Amino acid sequence: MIISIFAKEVRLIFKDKSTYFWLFALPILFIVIFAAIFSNLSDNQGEAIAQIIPGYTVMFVFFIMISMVQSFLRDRESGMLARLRSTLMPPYHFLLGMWLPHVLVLIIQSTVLLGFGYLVYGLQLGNVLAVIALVLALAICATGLGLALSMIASSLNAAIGVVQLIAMGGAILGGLWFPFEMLPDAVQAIGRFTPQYWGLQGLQSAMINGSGLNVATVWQAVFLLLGIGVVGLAGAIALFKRYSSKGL
Amino acid sequence: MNAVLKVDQIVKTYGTGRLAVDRIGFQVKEGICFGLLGPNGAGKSTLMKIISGIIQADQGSITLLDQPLATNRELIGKHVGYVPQDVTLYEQLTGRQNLHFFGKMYGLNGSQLKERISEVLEKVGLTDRANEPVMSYSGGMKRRINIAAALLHKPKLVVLDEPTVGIDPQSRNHIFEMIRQMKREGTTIIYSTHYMEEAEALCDELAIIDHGKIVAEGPLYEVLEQHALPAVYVEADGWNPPSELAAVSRIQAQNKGWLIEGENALQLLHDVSNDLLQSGHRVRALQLQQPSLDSVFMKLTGAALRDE
Repeated sequence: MIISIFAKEVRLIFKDKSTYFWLFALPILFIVIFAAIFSNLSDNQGEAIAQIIPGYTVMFVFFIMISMVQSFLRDRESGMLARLRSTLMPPYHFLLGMWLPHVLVLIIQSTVLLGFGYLVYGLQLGNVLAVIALVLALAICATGLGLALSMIASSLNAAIGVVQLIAMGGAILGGLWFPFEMLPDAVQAIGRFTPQYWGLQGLQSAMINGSGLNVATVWQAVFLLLGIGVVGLAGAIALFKRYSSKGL
Repeated sequence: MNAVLKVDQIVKTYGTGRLAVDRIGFQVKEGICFGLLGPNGAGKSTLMKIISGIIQADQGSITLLDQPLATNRELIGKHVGYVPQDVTLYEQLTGRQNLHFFGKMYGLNGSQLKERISEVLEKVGLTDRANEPVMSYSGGMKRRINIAAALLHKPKLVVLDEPTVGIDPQSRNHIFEMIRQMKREGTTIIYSTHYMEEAEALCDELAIIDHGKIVAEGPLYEVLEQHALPAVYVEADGWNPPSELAAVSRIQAQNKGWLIEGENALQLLHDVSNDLLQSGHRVRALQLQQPSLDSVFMKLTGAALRDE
C-alpha cells in the first residue's frame, strides 16, 4: 500500500502547476540573477558559481517542508485520513507513503538545479557519487524535519513561518548567500549547527575541482544531515498518533 | 435472519468531556437498511465512526459477523465500506484514479481491481466520466463516486453517513436505487440521514438518537405505531377546533389549517365533519393523515434548534 500512496502523492504533486514554479523556475531565477550580480563583482567567476548554485540548491531544498505540511493537513482536514482508517491500510504505510514522494521531489529538484549549473555555467560536479550521496542526505534531512513539522503544525500559515525561519535563517547562518569565511566569527559559530552549512560544505568539497575530494568533510556532512533527518523521522513517528487523532 | 452487527452498551466521551454516545445498543439484521436518525450533534456520526473502526469506543462492544470488532482492523477493512458525510476524494485525480487508490487500500490488485472499478462505475452511472478529474464533477456525481469508493471490496456492511446532502433529485434517486439494489444483493446498510422521507423510503428498521441515547428503535411500522397517532387535517375558512372534541390527543396549527391527532381516526373524522356541517364553515380540506416519521421525530427530539 506504500507504493499506492506514493504513486498517488507523486501524481498530486506534479499535477499541481505551481509545483514547477516553486521547485524549478524560482530557484533557477535566483541562480541566474545572483550569478549575474556576483560574477561581475568577483574576479573568479568559477568561485562565485560554486558558491551560488550549490548554495541556492541547499536553500530551496528546505522549502519542501511547506508542501509536506500542506499535504498532511489536506488529508487530515478533508477527512481522508479518517476514511483510510476504515480500510486495510496500516497507519505507518500512510506516513511512509506520504514522506517518500517528497524525497523523490528533492532528488529531482537538486538534479535539475545542479544540472542547470553544469550545463549553463559550467559548474564542476567533481565526484558525482559524493554529490549523489549528499543530495540524498540533504533530501532525507529536509523531509525528516518536514515530516516532524507536519505532525505538529495546526495550520499552514504557522508552518510557513517556521519553514521561513529554518530555510532563510539557516541560509544566512550557514553561508549559503555569502562565503562562510566572510561571515563574522559569532555567526560562523552558530552557523556550524545548521544543516545548511553542512550541506553546502559537503557539496563544495565534493564538487570543487582542483582541491580534490575532501572525503572527511563529505562523510561528516552526509552523516550529520542523515542524523538530523533520522531525528526528524523518529520525532514524526512518535508524533503521528497526535497528528492523526486530531482529524477524527 | 442473522444479525450482521451487534452494538452493545457503547459509550464515547470526547476530550472536552462531552458525552457523544451514551450506552447505545442495537442489532442490525442481514440484508436490511437500518436508519440512524437524529438531530445535529445527536451522536450519529460518532457511532458510525466507531462501527467503521475510525475511532474507539470508551466502553461497550461491537460484534460484526459474530467476531469482536475492537482492534480487528482486518475484519473492518474486509467487510465494512464507510462513506463519510463529506466527499472525501482527491479532486485533482480522475474518478478512476481515485477508485484505483481506494481499491488498493482495500487490498485489491490486478485484474480483480480493474474489474471491480468497472463494476462500481457502472453501478453509480459514471463509466463515461471516469477519466475526468473529480473537480469537474457535479455535486451529485461526487457523492456517487464517494459511495463507489466504499463498494470496491464488496463489503458485507455499508455505512452511509448522510450521503444525499446537497444533491440534485436525479442523483438522489440514483443513490436510492443503488441502495435498494445492494439490499437485494444481500448487503446490509446503515444509513444516517436528516431527511425523514428518505428513512421512510429506504429503511426497514431504524433508531432515533438524541443526546447520545436511543429514544426509539425498531421496524419502521412499529416505531410509527408506538410513537405516532393517526390524525385528521382540516382546512376551513374561519374555523377553529372546538374544545369539546372527544378522544383528541393533540391539536396543532399546520399550514393553513389544523392537525388533530387522536387514537380513533374515524371517530375523529366523524366528530370534525359534524362540527363543520353544523357551523357551516367553508371547507377547503378534510383528510385522514397517516402517522409520519417526521412527526415522530419532532415529538421525540423536540423542536429546539441544534446547531452543534
